[in-house]
Amino acid sequence: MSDTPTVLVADDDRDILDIVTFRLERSGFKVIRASDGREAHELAVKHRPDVVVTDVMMPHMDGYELAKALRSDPATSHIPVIVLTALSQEEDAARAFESGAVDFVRKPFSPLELKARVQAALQRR
Amino acid sequence: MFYSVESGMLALAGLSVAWPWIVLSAVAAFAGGMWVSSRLARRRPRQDDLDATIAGRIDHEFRTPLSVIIGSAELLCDDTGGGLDDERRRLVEAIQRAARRLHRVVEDLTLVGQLQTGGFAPKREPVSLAQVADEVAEWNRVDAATKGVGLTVEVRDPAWIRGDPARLRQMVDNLVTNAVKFTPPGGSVSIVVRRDPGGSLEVEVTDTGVGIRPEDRHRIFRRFERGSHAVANHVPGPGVGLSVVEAVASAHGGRVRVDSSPAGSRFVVQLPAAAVENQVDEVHP
Ligand SMILES: Nc1ncnc2c1ncn2[C@@H]1O[C@H](COP(=O)(O)OP(=O)(O)O)[C@@H](O)[C@H]1O
Ligand SMILES: [Mg+2]
Repeated sequence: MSDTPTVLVADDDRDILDIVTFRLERSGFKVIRASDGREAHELAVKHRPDVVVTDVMMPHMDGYELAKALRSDPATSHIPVIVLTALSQEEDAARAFESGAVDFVRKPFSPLELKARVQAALQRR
Repeated sequence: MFYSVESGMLALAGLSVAWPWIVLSAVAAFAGGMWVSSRLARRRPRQDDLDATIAGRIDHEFRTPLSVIIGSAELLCDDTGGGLDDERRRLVEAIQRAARRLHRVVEDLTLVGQLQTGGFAPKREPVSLAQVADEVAEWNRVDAATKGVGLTVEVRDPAWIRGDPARLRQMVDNLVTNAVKFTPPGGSVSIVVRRDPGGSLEVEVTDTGVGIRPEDRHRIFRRFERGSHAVANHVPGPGVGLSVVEAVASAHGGRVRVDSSPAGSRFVVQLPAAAVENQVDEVHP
Protein backbone atom coordinates (compact mmCIF):
# COMPACT_ATOMS: atom_id res chain seq x y z
CA MET A 1 0.00 0.00 0.00
CA SER A 2 1.32 3.45 -0.90
CA ASP A 3 1.51 6.18 1.73
CA THR A 4 -1.56 7.98 0.44
CA PRO A 5 -4.31 5.51 -0.38
CA THR A 6 -6.38 6.41 -3.43
CA VAL A 7 -10.15 6.10 -3.39
CA LEU A 8 -12.23 6.17 -6.55
CA VAL A 9 -15.66 7.65 -5.84
CA ALA A 10 -18.51 7.22 -8.33
CA ASP A 11 -21.85 8.99 -7.98
CA ASP A 12 -24.00 10.86 -10.49
CA ASP A 13 -24.96 13.39 -7.82
CA ARG A 14 -22.30 16.09 -7.75
CA ASP A 15 -23.09 17.16 -4.20
CA ILE A 16 -22.58 13.62 -2.92
CA LEU A 17 -19.29 13.45 -4.82
CA ASP A 18 -18.19 16.71 -3.17
CA ILE A 19 -19.13 15.58 0.32
CA VAL A 20 -17.36 12.25 0.03
CA THR A 21 -14.35 13.93 -1.57
CA PHE A 22 -14.11 16.60 1.16
CA ARG A 23 -14.29 13.99 3.90
CA LEU A 24 -11.77 11.62 2.40
CA GLU A 25 -9.31 14.36 1.39
CA ARG A 26 -9.47 15.89 4.86
CA SER A 27 -8.60 12.46 6.21
CA GLY A 28 -5.54 12.21 3.99
CA PHE A 29 -6.81 10.12 1.08
CA LYS A 30 -6.30 10.90 -2.58
CA VAL A 31 -9.65 10.94 -4.39
CA ILE A 32 -10.51 10.23 -8.02
CA ARG A 33 -14.06 11.20 -9.06
CA ALA A 34 -16.40 9.65 -11.60
CA SER A 35 -19.95 10.66 -12.37
CA ASP A 36 -21.17 7.45 -14.00
CA GLY A 37 -20.37 3.75 -13.96
CA ARG A 38 -18.58 3.61 -17.28
CA GLU A 39 -16.26 6.50 -16.41
CA ALA A 40 -15.62 4.85 -13.04
CA HIS A 41 -14.67 1.61 -14.75
CA GLU A 42 -12.26 3.34 -17.13
CA LEU A 43 -10.63 5.29 -14.31
CA ALA A 44 -10.36 2.19 -12.13
CA VAL A 45 -8.58 0.27 -14.87
CA LYS A 46 -6.26 3.21 -15.53
CA HIS A 47 -5.40 4.25 -11.96
CA ARG A 48 -5.91 1.04 -9.91
CA PRO A 49 -7.29 2.79 -6.79
CA ASP A 50 -6.98 1.13 -3.37
CA VAL A 51 -10.75 1.26 -2.78
CA VAL A 52 -13.84 2.03 -4.89
CA VAL A 53 -16.92 3.70 -3.40
CA THR A 54 -19.86 3.59 -5.79
CA ASP A 55 -23.48 4.67 -5.98
CA VAL A 56 -25.94 2.13 -7.43
CA MET A 57 -28.23 4.02 -9.79
CA MET A 58 -25.99 5.80 -12.29
CA PRO A 59 -26.09 6.34 -16.04
CA HIS A 60 -24.42 3.94 -18.50
CA MET A 61 -23.34 1.31 -15.96
CA ASP A 62 -24.87 0.87 -12.52
CA GLY A 63 -22.96 0.20 -9.32
CA TYR A 64 -23.65 -3.55 -9.36
CA GLU A 65 -22.39 -3.85 -12.93
CA LEU A 66 -19.34 -1.83 -12.02
CA ALA A 67 -18.56 -4.12 -9.08
CA LYS A 68 -18.99 -7.19 -11.31
CA ALA A 69 -16.82 -5.75 -14.08
CA LEU A 70 -14.05 -4.93 -11.60
CA ARG A 71 -14.22 -8.36 -10.03
CA SER A 72 -14.09 -10.24 -13.32
CA ASP A 73 -10.96 -8.41 -14.54
CA PRO A 74 -7.75 -9.82 -12.98
CA ALA A 75 -6.22 -6.33 -13.14
CA THR A 76 -8.88 -4.91 -10.81
CA SER A 77 -10.35 -7.92 -9.01
CA HIS A 78 -8.33 -7.18 -5.84
CA ILE A 79 -9.89 -3.72 -5.36
CA PRO A 80 -12.49 -3.69 -2.58
CA VAL A 81 -15.78 -2.08 -3.64
CA ILE A 82 -18.10 -0.32 -1.19
CA VAL A 83 -21.63 0.23 -2.47
CA LEU A 84 -23.34 3.43 -1.37
CA THR A 85 -27.02 3.37 -2.14
CA ALA A 86 -30.27 5.25 -1.83
CA LEU A 87 -32.20 2.00 -2.21
CA SER A 88 -33.67 0.60 0.95
CA GLN A 89 -34.97 -2.84 0.10
CA GLU A 90 -33.30 -5.77 1.81
CA GLU A 91 -32.56 -7.43 -1.54
CA ASP A 92 -30.38 -4.50 -2.53
CA ALA A 93 -27.76 -5.40 0.07
CA ALA A 94 -27.80 -9.01 -1.10
CA ARG A 95 -27.37 -7.90 -4.70
CA ALA A 96 -24.41 -5.70 -3.77
CA PHE A 97 -22.60 -8.61 -2.09
CA GLU A 98 -23.45 -10.97 -4.95
CA SER A 99 -21.88 -8.47 -7.32
CA GLY A 100 -18.67 -8.68 -5.34
CA ALA A 101 -18.95 -5.64 -3.05
CA VAL A 102 -17.25 -5.96 0.36
CA ASP A 103 -19.48 -3.44 2.12
CA PHE A 104 -22.81 -1.72 1.73
CA VAL A 105 -23.74 1.72 3.09
CA ARG A 106 -27.27 3.07 2.90
CA LYS A 107 -28.06 6.72 2.24
CA PRO A 108 -28.42 8.93 4.15
CA PHE A 109 -24.99 8.25 5.58
CA SER A 110 -22.54 10.03 7.83
CA PRO A 111 -19.34 10.98 5.96
CA LEU A 112 -17.33 10.01 9.05
CA GLU A 113 -18.88 6.58 9.05
CA LEU A 114 -18.18 6.13 5.35
CA LYS A 115 -14.56 7.09 5.97
CA ALA A 116 -14.39 4.44 8.72
CA ARG A 117 -15.74 1.83 6.29
CA VAL A 118 -13.12 2.83 3.71
CA GLN A 119 -10.39 2.43 6.33
CA ALA A 120 -11.79 -0.95 7.34
CA ALA A 121 -11.82 -2.10 3.70
CA LEU A 122 -8.18 -1.03 3.34
CA GLN A 123 -7.18 -2.95 6.45
CA ARG A 124 -8.98 -6.10 5.35
CA ARG A 125 -7.16 -6.30 2.03
CA MET B 1 -56.08 5.29 37.33
CA PHE B 2 -54.73 3.46 34.28
CA TYR B 3 -56.77 2.01 31.47
CA SER B 4 -55.19 -0.80 29.55
CA VAL B 5 -55.49 -1.83 25.94
CA GLU B 6 -53.84 -4.72 24.17
CA SER B 7 -53.02 -3.96 20.60
CA GLY B 8 -51.45 -7.23 19.48
CA MET B 9 -54.37 -8.30 17.35
CA LEU B 10 -54.36 -5.05 15.49
CA ALA B 11 -51.07 -5.94 13.92
CA LEU B 12 -51.14 -5.04 10.26
CA ALA B 13 -54.93 -4.94 10.18
CA GLY B 14 -56.21 -2.93 7.30
CA LEU B 15 -53.05 -3.00 5.22
CA SER B 16 -55.03 -3.19 2.03
CA VAL B 17 -54.11 0.05 0.35
CA ALA B 18 -51.46 0.13 -2.35
CA TRP B 19 -48.23 1.48 -0.99
CA PRO B 20 -47.41 4.27 -3.40
CA TRP B 21 -50.67 5.77 -2.41
CA ILE B 22 -49.64 5.69 1.23
CA VAL B 23 -46.35 7.39 0.66
CA LEU B 24 -47.56 9.89 -1.87
CA SER B 25 -50.53 10.92 0.21
CA ALA B 26 -48.34 11.21 3.30
CA VAL B 27 -45.92 13.35 1.35
CA ALA B 28 -48.74 15.37 -0.07
CA ALA B 29 -50.28 15.85 3.36
CA PHE B 30 -46.90 17.07 4.63
CA ALA B 31 -46.55 19.50 1.84
CA GLY B 32 -50.06 20.69 2.43
CA GLY B 33 -51.05 19.51 -1.07
CA MET B 34 -54.34 17.98 -0.08
CA TRP B 35 -55.73 17.92 -3.61
CA VAL B 36 -52.95 15.58 -4.70
CA SER B 37 -53.76 13.16 -1.94
CA SER B 38 -57.50 13.16 -2.55
CA ARG B 39 -56.94 12.61 -6.27
CA LEU B 40 -54.59 9.72 -5.61
CA ALA B 41 -57.00 8.26 -3.11
CA ARG B 42 -59.56 7.87 -5.88
CA ARG B 43 -57.27 5.89 -8.16
CA ARG B 44 -55.11 3.57 -6.14
CA PRO B 45 -52.53 1.72 -8.25
CA ARG B 46 -52.37 -1.98 -7.56
CA GLN B 47 -49.61 -3.77 -9.48
CA ASP B 48 -46.59 -4.87 -7.48
CA ASP B 49 -44.27 -3.75 -10.28
CA LEU B 50 -45.57 -0.27 -10.09
CA ASP B 51 -45.30 -0.38 -6.29
CA ALA B 52 -41.67 -1.39 -6.49
CA THR B 53 -40.85 1.27 -9.05
CA ILE B 54 -42.43 4.03 -7.04
CA ALA B 55 -40.90 2.72 -3.81
CA GLY B 56 -37.49 2.91 -5.46
CA ARG B 57 -38.06 6.43 -6.70
CA ILE B 58 -39.29 7.69 -3.33
CA ASP B 59 -36.26 6.15 -1.68
CA HIS B 60 -33.92 7.71 -4.15
CA GLU B 61 -35.57 11.11 -4.18
CA PHE B 62 -35.53 11.42 -0.39
CA ARG B 63 -32.37 9.61 0.59
CA THR B 64 -29.98 11.36 -1.78
CA PRO B 65 -30.86 14.96 -0.79
CA LEU B 66 -30.96 13.88 2.87
CA SER B 67 -27.41 12.58 2.48
CA VAL B 68 -26.36 15.94 1.12
CA ILE B 69 -27.95 17.81 4.04
CA ILE B 70 -26.66 15.45 6.73
CA GLY B 71 -23.23 15.14 5.16
CA SER B 72 -22.74 18.87 4.60
CA ALA B 73 -23.85 19.70 8.13
CA GLU B 74 -21.46 17.11 9.55
CA LEU B 75 -18.56 18.49 7.52
CA LEU B 76 -19.39 22.06 8.58
CA CYS B 77 -19.38 21.10 12.26
CA ASP B 78 -16.19 19.09 11.98
CA ASP B 79 -13.38 20.72 14.02
CA THR B 80 -10.91 20.40 11.17
CA GLY B 81 -13.40 22.39 9.07
CA GLY B 82 -12.69 25.13 11.57
CA GLY B 83 -13.92 28.49 12.64
CA LEU B 84 -17.66 28.25 13.25
CA ASP B 85 -18.77 30.74 15.87
CA ASP B 86 -21.43 29.78 18.41
CA GLU B 87 -24.32 31.21 16.46
CA ARG B 88 -23.37 29.42 13.25
CA ARG B 89 -22.71 26.19 15.06
CA ARG B 90 -26.21 26.36 16.54
CA LEU B 91 -27.66 26.93 13.09
CA VAL B 92 -25.84 23.88 11.78
CA GLU B 93 -27.16 21.88 14.72
CA ALA B 94 -30.67 23.03 13.82
CA ILE B 95 -30.10 21.69 10.29
CA GLN B 96 -28.94 18.39 11.76
CA ARG B 97 -31.99 18.09 14.02
CA ALA B 98 -34.36 18.85 11.15
CA ALA B 99 -32.57 16.33 8.94
CA ARG B 100 -32.83 13.66 11.63
CA ARG B 101 -36.53 14.33 11.90
CA LEU B 102 -36.95 13.94 8.16
CA HIS B 103 -34.79 10.84 8.20
CA ARG B 104 -37.08 9.24 10.79
CA VAL B 105 -40.10 9.86 8.59
CA VAL B 106 -38.32 8.38 5.57
CA GLU B 107 -37.35 5.26 7.56
CA ASP B 108 -40.92 4.87 8.85
CA LEU B 109 -42.44 5.28 5.39
CA THR B 110 -39.89 2.88 3.90
CA LEU B 111 -40.90 0.27 6.45
CA VAL B 112 -44.60 0.91 5.86
CA GLY B 113 -43.92 0.35 2.15
CA GLN B 114 -42.01 -2.86 2.82
CA LEU B 115 -44.86 -4.17 4.94
CA GLN B 116 -47.22 -3.32 2.14
CA THR B 117 -45.27 -5.17 -0.56
CA GLY B 118 -44.21 -8.04 1.70
CA GLY B 119 -40.62 -6.85 1.38
CA PHE B 120 -40.00 -6.57 5.13
CA ALA B 121 -37.41 -9.20 6.00
CA PRO B 122 -36.05 -8.42 9.46
CA LYS B 123 -32.51 -9.56 10.21
CA ARG B 124 -31.94 -12.10 12.99
CA GLU B 125 -28.78 -10.92 14.74
CA PRO B 126 -27.93 -10.77 18.43
CA VAL B 127 -29.13 -7.38 19.70
CA SER B 128 -29.01 -5.99 23.23
CA LEU B 129 -32.19 -4.08 23.99
CA ALA B 130 -30.26 -2.30 26.75
CA GLN B 131 -27.83 -0.98 24.16
CA VAL B 132 -30.73 -0.02 21.90
CA ALA B 133 -32.30 1.94 24.76
CA ASP B 134 -29.04 3.78 25.46
CA GLU B 135 -28.57 4.74 21.83
CA VAL B 136 -32.13 5.92 21.43
CA ALA B 137 -31.85 8.00 24.61
CA GLU B 138 -28.72 9.59 23.15
CA TRP B 139 -30.56 10.50 19.93
CA ASN B 140 -33.36 12.14 21.93
CA ARG B 141 -31.31 13.82 24.64
CA VAL B 142 -30.94 17.22 22.97
CA ASP B 143 -34.59 17.46 21.94
CA ALA B 144 -35.75 16.53 25.45
CA ALA B 145 -33.33 18.96 27.11
CA THR B 146 -34.27 21.79 24.74
CA LYS B 147 -37.89 21.22 25.65
CA GLY B 148 -37.20 20.96 29.39
CA VAL B 149 -38.27 17.31 29.62
CA GLY B 150 -36.19 14.93 31.76
CA LEU B 151 -35.03 11.72 30.08
CA THR B 152 -33.71 8.69 31.99
CA VAL B 153 -32.73 5.13 31.11
CA GLU B 154 -32.81 2.28 33.59
CA VAL B 155 -31.39 -1.04 32.51
CA ARG B 156 -32.10 -4.08 34.68
CA ASP B 157 -31.05 -6.67 32.12
CA PRO B 158 -28.77 -6.58 29.06
CA ALA B 159 -31.78 -8.08 27.29
CA TRP B 160 -30.20 -9.90 24.37
CA ILE B 161 -32.55 -11.02 21.66
CA ARG B 162 -32.17 -12.17 18.10
CA GLY B 163 -33.54 -9.51 15.81
CA ASP B 164 -33.03 -6.57 13.51
CA PRO B 165 -30.95 -3.90 15.27
CA ALA B 166 -31.94 -0.98 13.02
CA ARG B 167 -35.64 -1.82 13.21
CA LEU B 168 -35.55 -2.33 16.98
CA ARG B 169 -33.87 1.07 17.38
CA GLN B 170 -36.51 2.59 15.13
CA MET B 171 -39.24 0.97 17.26
CA VAL B 172 -37.91 2.28 20.57
CA ASP B 173 -37.09 5.66 19.01
CA ASN B 174 -40.69 6.07 17.89
CA LEU B 175 -41.92 5.47 21.43
CA VAL B 176 -39.39 7.86 22.93
CA THR B 177 -39.92 10.66 20.40
CA ASN B 178 -43.67 10.37 21.00
CA ALA B 179 -43.17 10.49 24.76
CA VAL B 180 -41.01 13.62 24.50
CA LYS B 181 -43.37 15.21 21.99
CA PHE B 182 -46.50 14.68 24.10
CA THR B 183 -44.94 15.70 27.43
CA PRO B 184 -45.06 19.38 28.41
CA PRO B 185 -41.95 21.16 29.74
CA GLY B 186 -41.12 20.21 33.31
CA GLY B 187 -42.26 16.62 32.79
CA SER B 188 -40.22 13.48 32.38
CA VAL B 189 -39.75 10.42 30.21
CA SER B 190 -38.20 7.18 31.38
CA ILE B 191 -37.04 4.12 29.48
CA VAL B 192 -36.77 0.85 31.42
CA VAL B 193 -35.40 -2.42 30.08
CA ARG B 194 -36.07 -5.51 32.18
CA ARG B 195 -36.87 -9.20 32.25
CA ASP B 196 -40.32 -9.97 33.61
CA PRO B 197 -40.94 -12.87 36.02
CA GLY B 198 -42.08 -15.06 33.12
CA GLY B 199 -38.70 -14.57 31.38
CA SER B 200 -39.90 -12.22 28.64
CA LEU B 201 -38.00 -9.04 27.93
CA GLU B 202 -39.70 -5.70 28.22
CA VAL B 203 -38.91 -2.22 27.02
CA GLU B 204 -41.11 0.28 28.83
CA VAL B 205 -41.40 3.95 27.89
CA THR B 206 -43.27 6.04 30.46
CA ASP B 207 -44.06 9.73 30.31
CA THR B 208 -45.84 12.35 32.40
CA GLY B 209 -47.48 13.80 29.31
CA VAL B 210 -50.99 14.59 28.11
CA GLY B 211 -52.22 10.99 28.10
CA ILE B 212 -54.34 9.18 25.52
CA ARG B 213 -58.11 9.02 25.63
CA PRO B 214 -59.59 5.53 26.03
CA GLU B 215 -61.41 5.83 22.69
CA ASP B 216 -58.11 6.60 20.91
CA ARG B 217 -56.04 3.78 22.34
CA HIS B 218 -56.68 1.15 19.66
CA ARG B 219 -56.99 3.50 16.75
CA ILE B 220 -53.59 5.18 17.13
CA PHE B 221 -51.80 1.93 16.21
CA ARG B 222 -53.22 2.08 12.69
CA ARG B 223 -51.14 3.94 10.19
CA PHE B 224 -51.97 7.61 9.68
CA GLU B 225 -54.31 7.60 12.69
CA ARG B 226 -53.58 10.28 15.25
CA GLY B 227 -55.08 10.96 18.66
CA SER B 228 -57.63 13.71 19.23
CA HIS B 229 -55.15 15.71 21.31
CA ALA B 230 -52.56 15.68 18.51
CA VAL B 231 -55.11 16.75 15.93
CA ALA B 232 -56.74 19.45 18.08
CA ASN B 233 -53.41 20.96 19.11
CA HIS B 234 -51.65 20.65 15.75
CA VAL B 235 -48.87 18.55 17.24
CA PRO B 236 -46.79 17.69 14.16
CA GLY B 237 -46.36 14.11 12.93
CA PRO B 238 -47.35 11.85 10.03
CA GLY B 239 -49.12 9.31 12.23
CA VAL B 240 -47.15 6.21 11.26
CA GLY B 241 -44.87 5.83 14.31
CA LEU B 242 -47.03 3.48 16.35
CA SER B 243 -47.93 1.31 13.36
CA VAL B 244 -44.19 0.79 12.93
CA VAL B 245 -43.79 -0.02 16.64
CA GLU B 246 -46.53 -2.59 16.36
CA ALA B 247 -45.17 -4.14 13.16
CA VAL B 248 -41.60 -4.42 14.44
CA ALA B 249 -42.76 -5.89 17.75
CA SER B 250 -44.89 -8.53 16.07
CA ALA B 251 -42.15 -9.34 13.55
CA HIS B 252 -40.05 -10.26 16.61
CA GLY B 253 -42.86 -12.32 18.11
CA GLY B 254 -43.73 -9.59 20.57
CA ARG B 255 -46.60 -7.27 21.36
CA VAL B 256 -47.29 -3.76 22.57
CA ARG B 257 -49.35 -2.69 25.55
CA VAL B 258 -50.44 0.82 26.43
CA ASP B 259 -51.69 2.25 29.72
CA SER B 260 -52.65 5.85 30.00
CA SER B 261 -54.27 8.38 32.26
CA PRO B 262 -54.49 12.17 32.13
CA ALA B 263 -51.23 12.11 34.13
CA GLY B 264 -49.25 10.30 31.45
CA SER B 265 -48.79 7.23 29.30
CA ARG B 266 -46.85 4.01 29.45
CA PHE B 267 -46.03 1.87 26.42
CA VAL B 268 -44.57 -1.58 26.99
CA VAL B 269 -43.09 -3.73 24.25
CA GLN B 270 -42.88 -7.31 25.37
CA LEU B 271 -40.68 -9.74 23.46
CA PRO B 272 -41.26 -13.40 24.21
CA ALA B 273 -38.79 -15.56 26.09
CA ALA B 274 -38.44 -17.75 23.02
CA ALA B 275 -36.63 -14.94 21.26
CA VAL B 276 -34.19 -14.42 24.14
CA GLU B 277 -30.57 -15.12 23.26
CA ASN B 278 -29.03 -16.56 26.42
CA GLN B 279 -25.63 -17.54 25.13
CA VAL B 280 -24.67 -14.06 24.09
CA ASP B 281 -24.88 -12.71 27.67
CA GLU B 282 -21.63 -14.45 28.49
CA VAL B 283 -19.76 -13.12 25.49
CA HIS B 284 -20.71 -9.46 25.94
CA PRO B 285 -21.78 -8.86 29.53
N1 LIG C 1 -46.66 9.14 24.57
C1 LIG C 1 -47.81 9.58 24.06
N2 LIG C 1 -48.60 10.43 24.77
C2 LIG C 1 -49.78 10.88 24.24
N3 LIG C 1 -50.24 10.53 23.02
C3 LIG C 1 -49.51 9.70 22.29
C4 LIG C 1 -48.25 9.17 22.76
N4 LIG C 1 -47.74 8.37 21.79
C5 LIG C 1 -48.64 8.38 20.77
N5 LIG C 1 -49.69 9.17 21.06
C6 LIG C 1 -50.89 9.39 20.21
O1 LIG C 1 -50.86 8.43 19.18
C7 LIG C 1 -50.90 9.07 17.91
C8 LIG C 1 -50.17 8.25 16.89
O2 LIG C 1 -48.76 8.22 17.18
P1 LIG C 1 -47.75 7.96 16.00
O3 LIG C 1 -48.24 6.79 15.24
O4 LIG C 1 -46.38 7.91 16.55
O5 LIG C 1 -47.93 9.21 15.06
P2 LIG C 1 -47.49 10.75 15.24
O6 LIG C 1 -46.53 10.83 16.39
O7 LIG C 1 -46.88 11.11 13.95
O8 LIG C 1 -48.76 11.48 15.51
C9 LIG C 1 -50.33 10.45 18.17
O9 LIG C 1 -50.79 11.36 17.20
C10 LIG C 1 -50.87 10.75 19.55
O10 LIG C 1 -52.20 11.19 19.47
MG1 LIG D 1 -44.89 9.54 16.49
